Amino acid sequence: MSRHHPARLIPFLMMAGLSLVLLPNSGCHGGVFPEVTVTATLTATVVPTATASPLATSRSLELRGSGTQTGMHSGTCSGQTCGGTSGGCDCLLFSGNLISTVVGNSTWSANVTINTDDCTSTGTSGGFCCNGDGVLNSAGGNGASASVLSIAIIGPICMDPEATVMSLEANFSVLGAMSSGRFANAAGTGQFNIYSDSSGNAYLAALGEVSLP
Amino acid sequence: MKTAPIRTAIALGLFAFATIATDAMAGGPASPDPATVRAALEHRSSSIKARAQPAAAATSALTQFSLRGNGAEVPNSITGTCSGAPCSASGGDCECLTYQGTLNASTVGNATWNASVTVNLDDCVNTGTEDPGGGGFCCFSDGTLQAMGSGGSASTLAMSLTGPICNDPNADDNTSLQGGFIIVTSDSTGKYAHSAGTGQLNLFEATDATTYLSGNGVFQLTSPF
Repeated sequence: MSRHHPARLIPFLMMAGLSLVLLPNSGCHGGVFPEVTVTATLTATVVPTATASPLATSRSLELRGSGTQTGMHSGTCSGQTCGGTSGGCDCLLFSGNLISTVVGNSTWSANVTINTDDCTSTGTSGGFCCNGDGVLNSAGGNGASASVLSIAIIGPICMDPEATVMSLEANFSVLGAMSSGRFANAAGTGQFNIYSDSSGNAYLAALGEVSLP
Repeated sequence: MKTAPIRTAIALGLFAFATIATDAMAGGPASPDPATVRAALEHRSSSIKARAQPAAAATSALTQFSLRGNGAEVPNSITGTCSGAPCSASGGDCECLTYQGTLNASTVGNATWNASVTVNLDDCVNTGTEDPGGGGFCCFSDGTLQAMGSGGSASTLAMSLTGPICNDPNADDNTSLQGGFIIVTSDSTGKYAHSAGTGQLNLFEATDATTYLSGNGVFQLTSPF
């Protein structure tokens, strides 16, 4: 009888095979379990260095606007795949005028995608909140002085059972790459609210800070 | 020391949920389905198309609105919704929290306030952190707040709010509400009878029931809408 009968190697071969399957989950693609990167993204920290450039001037950003809900269509506003559990999304469209400490008098347009599949009741019958995301563009100035401030908005959008109005309470972040003119490459954040009543009348409010390059 | 009210309410809600879980799974009250959500939005869209252009009216400037106040939770225990409307939580469990105090706000000046907040006890989600007191979680809520002036020409500014109300594990399990508010024109009186606006409202309640109120947004004393 041989000292290394093939049958005696089976457990070792199985362990080696299992290890090869599981190892990729330590950071490489292709393992048994899908790689989850959300935690790594959320816990990533920025370590300041001595060579970091100084922060741009930060200014208080306030937006006060009114307007109308101009329409609605199925699907996401961007045309990307809807992430609702059953593929249900709607896109709400708004436009109007606003005044701002930084932007000045300008026009605004916004679109908000709503996941209509995964909403939760607020308690009172008729009230519910869904998650929403969208983009608001505020355009001011003419010709060479024309500028657009773009902000991304994300947060719960709720149907208020007391007043039968839709209310979005969101965080906003300035989209520097989408902004133009004097807002190109700007950055900032804050809180954002928009509501639309049953007739489509809309108000918006935002309060935060913006850093201009 | 007073137990954080929302935590007590949740504990009662969980107990109630355990007793009715079978019924809920068998088709009891549930969160809104997509058709209900879409119907609400489509109704709005139809209204937009049918709506006439608003008549020209003397309107006020759109101004910044801020509100600061304090007070306390009213010591009561109200099961169900504050308005008396049916509770649409997945297990049928709602709690009504009530508050009152004093505030100072743009345009309004000094006033007294009261608020009632309905909490959906059945569909809360953990915030991540666990602690011996139950940990952090958020539920959805809706409610109303009224700011009332004093004197013979007293006016009432009525607001409505929706949003998450959370138990904060990093602040002694205190209650924190972050809601979007709208001014309810039809429920406002006196000089606010034609007012409108929106913004963010925060309410914080400590374990001793002391409550703080903060709000920011836009306000139009006479709205064209």
